Amino acid sequence: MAITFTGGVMVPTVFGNDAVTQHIFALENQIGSRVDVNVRRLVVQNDPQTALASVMPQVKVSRGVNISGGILLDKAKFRTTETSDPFVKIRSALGEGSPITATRGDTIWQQYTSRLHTAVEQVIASDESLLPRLVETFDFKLRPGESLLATVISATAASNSALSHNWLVDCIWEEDQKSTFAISGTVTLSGIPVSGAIVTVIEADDLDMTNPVLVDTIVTPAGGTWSADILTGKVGAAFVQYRSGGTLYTAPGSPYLE
Amino acid sequence: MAGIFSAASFRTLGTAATPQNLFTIENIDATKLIYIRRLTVQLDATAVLVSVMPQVKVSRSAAVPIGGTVLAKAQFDTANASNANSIVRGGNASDGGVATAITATAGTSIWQQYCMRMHTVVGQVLAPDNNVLPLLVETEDLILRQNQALLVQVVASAGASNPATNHWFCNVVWEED
Repeated sequence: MAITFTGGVMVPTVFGNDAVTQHIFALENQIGSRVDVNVRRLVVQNDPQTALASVMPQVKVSRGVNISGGILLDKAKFRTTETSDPFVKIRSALGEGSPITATRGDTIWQQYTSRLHTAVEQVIASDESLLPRLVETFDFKLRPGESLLATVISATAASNSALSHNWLVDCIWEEDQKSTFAISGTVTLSGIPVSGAIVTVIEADDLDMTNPVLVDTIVTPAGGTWSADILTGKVGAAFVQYRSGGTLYTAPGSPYLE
Repeated sequence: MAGIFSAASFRTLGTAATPQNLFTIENIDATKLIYIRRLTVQLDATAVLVSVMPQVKVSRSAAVPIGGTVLAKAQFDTANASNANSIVRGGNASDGGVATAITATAGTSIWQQYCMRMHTVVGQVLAPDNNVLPLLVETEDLILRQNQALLVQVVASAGASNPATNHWFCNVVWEED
């Protein structure tokens, strides 16, 4: 298809959490999205401020599930003419009060960052890739319903001290529009087209309406026509409501539009 | 191509022996090929070493490896499934956990790499990616055919140069046809 958006996000500083596991970043392409997300760059930086004489934490990236919490971040645009899909969400942890809750998947890539064996001299903070650089050219794809999760894994809780570790994550991604098919119709009352009727369009994975998503709520114009786009491979359903004076109308739904 | 996949080992401690088999990837499929696109090692050594640091050598192992821990394979695209005959092994089953030795014999070295050592335990410790295959394998095919494997091996001048205070891990990306 076509790339409809390229953007980036910057995670505000995340302090360590004095625990052996800390989810610091998540990129979600939620159910309902009209795009595949191709991650083009994902890096972490760490500024450790106190000495750590044991092994440093690893940062592991996986396809996480059951992601919630944290804070949602603004998405920056490479080109202001483009708009990101609203179902693409970026999340970071923020202090003790807003941790990300998630379940890790199999590790895709991992990275050490740095530690201070003793706290002396200059401290360098270089970009450390959380996905291999080759994702710049080989698509690393998140389809709708999939997510990427970056997690700090420490040998001991003291290895990711809140008073020492300052984590940054940066991410660049593209959104690749998926193919859709159109459904449409005309709302009539006693054979006459109706303007001002409300058509609710729902999309789901299958005829059992698994993972239902509200696609659109359309107010019909003069002529009573409506249309919506459904992802190829999914099913759509439309329902109509109309109020005229004190009279409320509805119409039989049009389910299983494939 | 049937897809791109990756795998990561667990944090593996030095064994105070030389050599130490750290990681393998093997292809036992009669018809499918594996193309290695990236292979990296990182090390955090927390103890002083004033002699030469270990080398990490990559070779085609003399036979298909056995033992170790078979690692989970991650997908670049969930529409693609990795061939069950593509097998990745690591030297333990959890970060810092008990060793599960990989049995494999090194062949002729393809590439080698120093990683790091602490001459004195002072100051910052950085952890850059150490490429144990040259980056040109992104575009120049390094192919594993049936019953071929790559072995990542730590080779130290003395066993004491690779103590349990060495914390290793490996990452790999490959393509399958």
